[in-house]
Amino acid sequence: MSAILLGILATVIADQLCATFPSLALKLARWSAACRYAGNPAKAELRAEELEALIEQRPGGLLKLSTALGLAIAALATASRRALGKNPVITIARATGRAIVMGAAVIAAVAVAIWYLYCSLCLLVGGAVMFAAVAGLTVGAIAGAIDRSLGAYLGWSAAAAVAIWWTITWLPRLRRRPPRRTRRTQSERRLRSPRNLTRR
Amino acid sequence: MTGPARITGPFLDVLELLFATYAAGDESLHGWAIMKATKRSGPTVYGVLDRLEDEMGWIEGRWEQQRPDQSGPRKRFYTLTPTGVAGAQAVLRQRRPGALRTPGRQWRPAPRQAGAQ
Repeated sequence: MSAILLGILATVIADQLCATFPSLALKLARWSAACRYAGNPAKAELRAEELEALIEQRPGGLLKLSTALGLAIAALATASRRALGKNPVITIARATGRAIVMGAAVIAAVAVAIWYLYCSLCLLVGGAVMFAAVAGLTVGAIAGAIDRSLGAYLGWSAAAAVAIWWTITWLPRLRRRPPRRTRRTQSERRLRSPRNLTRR
Repeated sequence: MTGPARITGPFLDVLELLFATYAAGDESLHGWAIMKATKRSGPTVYGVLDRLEDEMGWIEGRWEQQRPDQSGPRKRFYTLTPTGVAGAQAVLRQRRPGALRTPGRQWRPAPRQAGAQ
């Protein structure tokens, strides 16, 4: 009974998670336009709207998100090339820092997408995984609201989800230690001997 | 007229498609339609469109006219400029003559292996 309830709950949560993908994809598309045309705000604004229209035309939440991720990775590559190409010596440190932040955001977004797929596959396993995903997204939403950035949202989501999942999955295993070997009495040994067991 | 500094497969695909739609009198070619027709990814297509629009001035974009009841992000349609038509003809004549022989045909992406014709 509880498995059925968990299954229904997990499906509802998965549906809700899927519903967040389009808005996430739109934000990512806007960010990638801003990143790619960093020196040209007018062009960035123009392209952002165009990319948003492109995302809107993609069917399905996951496809929207994957398209947006592709755009973000390409924008990141362009931005890195531009930053390094201008003045490698001076800009390298700044570009590295920025690339790490942006890269972390993109990796976190990919992790969330993979996480979603994993959760969908694990629906039958139980509610623990889904709980971790939902808790992770909640933490991410709070972090994103405080920091007002997509990076904080995605990074904290992925980190919290992984941490919670790990705790749920591994803590019971760590607790489950093998029982201590106690000295058996002569009569116990005799009772548990294979000969006696087969006789029973 | 500024000629292309580097002619790549995606560049030729997008240019051929733009020329085909121009020859057919169709002016509703937007990013997603180009991606679908050329089977190229978004960053590749938009990279080519950037080159054609900003660096070379071969294409111009115009926003979709939305009805008052419509909302959401607008599409951007791309068409060849007169300079772009001449430039595209020159490039395609050299690299993909088949595209000029049958303008307005149903456009299909060229095979990617040997040659582009």
